[in-house]
Amino acid sequence: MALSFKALSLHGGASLDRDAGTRAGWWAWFLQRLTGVALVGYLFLHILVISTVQAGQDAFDSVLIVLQKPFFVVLDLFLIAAVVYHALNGVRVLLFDLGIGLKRQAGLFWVCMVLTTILTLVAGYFSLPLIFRN
Amino acid sequence: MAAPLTDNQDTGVVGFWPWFYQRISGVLLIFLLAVHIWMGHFSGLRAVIDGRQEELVLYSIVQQRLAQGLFVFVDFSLLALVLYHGLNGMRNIFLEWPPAANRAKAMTLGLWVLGAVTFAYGAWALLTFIL
Amino acid sequence: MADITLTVKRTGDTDDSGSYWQSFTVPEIAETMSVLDALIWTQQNIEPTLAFRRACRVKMCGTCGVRINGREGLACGTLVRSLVGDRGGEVRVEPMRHLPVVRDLVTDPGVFYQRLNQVGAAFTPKDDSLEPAQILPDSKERKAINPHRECIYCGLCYSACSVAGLDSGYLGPAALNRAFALVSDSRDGTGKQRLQASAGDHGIWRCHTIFECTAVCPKGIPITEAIEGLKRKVFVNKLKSLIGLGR
Repeated sequence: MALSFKALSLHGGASLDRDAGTRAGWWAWFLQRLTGVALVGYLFLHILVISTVQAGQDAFDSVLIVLQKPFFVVLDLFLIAAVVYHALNGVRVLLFDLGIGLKRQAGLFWVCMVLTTILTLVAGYFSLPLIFRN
Repeated sequence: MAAPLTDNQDTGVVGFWPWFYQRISGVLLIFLLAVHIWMGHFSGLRAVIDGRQEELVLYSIVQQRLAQGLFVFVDFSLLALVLYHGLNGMRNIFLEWPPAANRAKAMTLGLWVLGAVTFAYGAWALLTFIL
Repeated sequence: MADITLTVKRTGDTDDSGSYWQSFTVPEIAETMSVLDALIWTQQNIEPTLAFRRACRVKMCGTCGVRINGREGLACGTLVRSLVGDRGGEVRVEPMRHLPVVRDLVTDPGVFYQRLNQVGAAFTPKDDSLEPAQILPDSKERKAINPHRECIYCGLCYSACSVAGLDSGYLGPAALNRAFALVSDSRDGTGKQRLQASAGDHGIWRCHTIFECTAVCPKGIPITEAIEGLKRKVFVNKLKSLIGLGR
């Protein structure tokens, strides 16, 4: 008699998606917070950078030239990843608020992670060649 | 010992409107940021303007972009909404370890002031390109 | 039939000494042995001072809630083999979180029950209700409420919730799930106050859809759905009052 011990365990099973111990919901929330804080930090830096225009066109241009060097192009890809993940998970949460997808919440988190990876790679495809041109 | 149903300590600190506007601003930001990032870094706009591909983003290019009403609208809206969304998000994090009601209100006011000042500073920069 | 190592978090004997882990070697009594079986065997054969709660032993009463290998569960409903297979291993058991520990695995659920009272957990009929109430079993209302009526008030969701860990005043998943069930019930007369109580400083807006509650509920109740449902109800009410249809 083959007993399924996992099935006999504590799960009642009304939800299709019982998280399977991966803590997907927790990681989704934690990464949303992490990327959010990072993006707020970046936002203030960005506004500061753009505000160098007050020191004149040449000052502005010299800053921007530095910020488009290869090191920063790579850093920008991390920024893209953070923005894309934050936006996608934001949509995931919005779906929950609308009553959609709650029974598949962990699956939706993995969709966010996969899409973030794909879109960041796409952004890299378009921006990394620029390193070799300038 | 049981707290009656009507003994609801609601000071409006953690409420409906911040939750609601976080979603509204979030959705709008998806579109505005997509336009902003695309136009700033990925489009062939630079090639159209200068006839050259893969030009660095410099003052002249930013100025040309902001000469168009649409992008002025996009950038100002973006500045306002992203500051709201970001600072509202920070507020959520601070409220997680619940502060006393008066501290919460002071913190909220502080964030509004920070947002207003930062918006003014950013708007000044934008206007420098436009005017 | 391999022995297992049952490691239990125990309370120090005096006020000063903190908690400590104590391990026991427990034989596998049967293939379907539960964690509760292991605790009872340990108490009867090795350590009579081991303190833990239990009653029905069939996942109905919600008394034996603990954390097993880092995850909330009913001791009676968690089979040892589902944790360690048939080759033995370690099973770590500690008390539920976010409640005061009385001793060893026994916690004081007072705060948990208080949260339920704050949303008015008891059904209160409308003054002008028709007798008997006419809600058919396959009606939309009944179907919406049914999953949320299964709660056995075990407190595992409250223990698992990260928000409850940060805000000790948070109403918590069980209270909000109960509030949703009653607010959705057309026979209930206190819906408006219940909704208001749910939407206060320590209520639904603190839920960040982390789903820890839903993941550990032994009855499979979609608790996060209940809290999201309450948020939608508040939203619809706000919209109605703005348009002028407010009640």
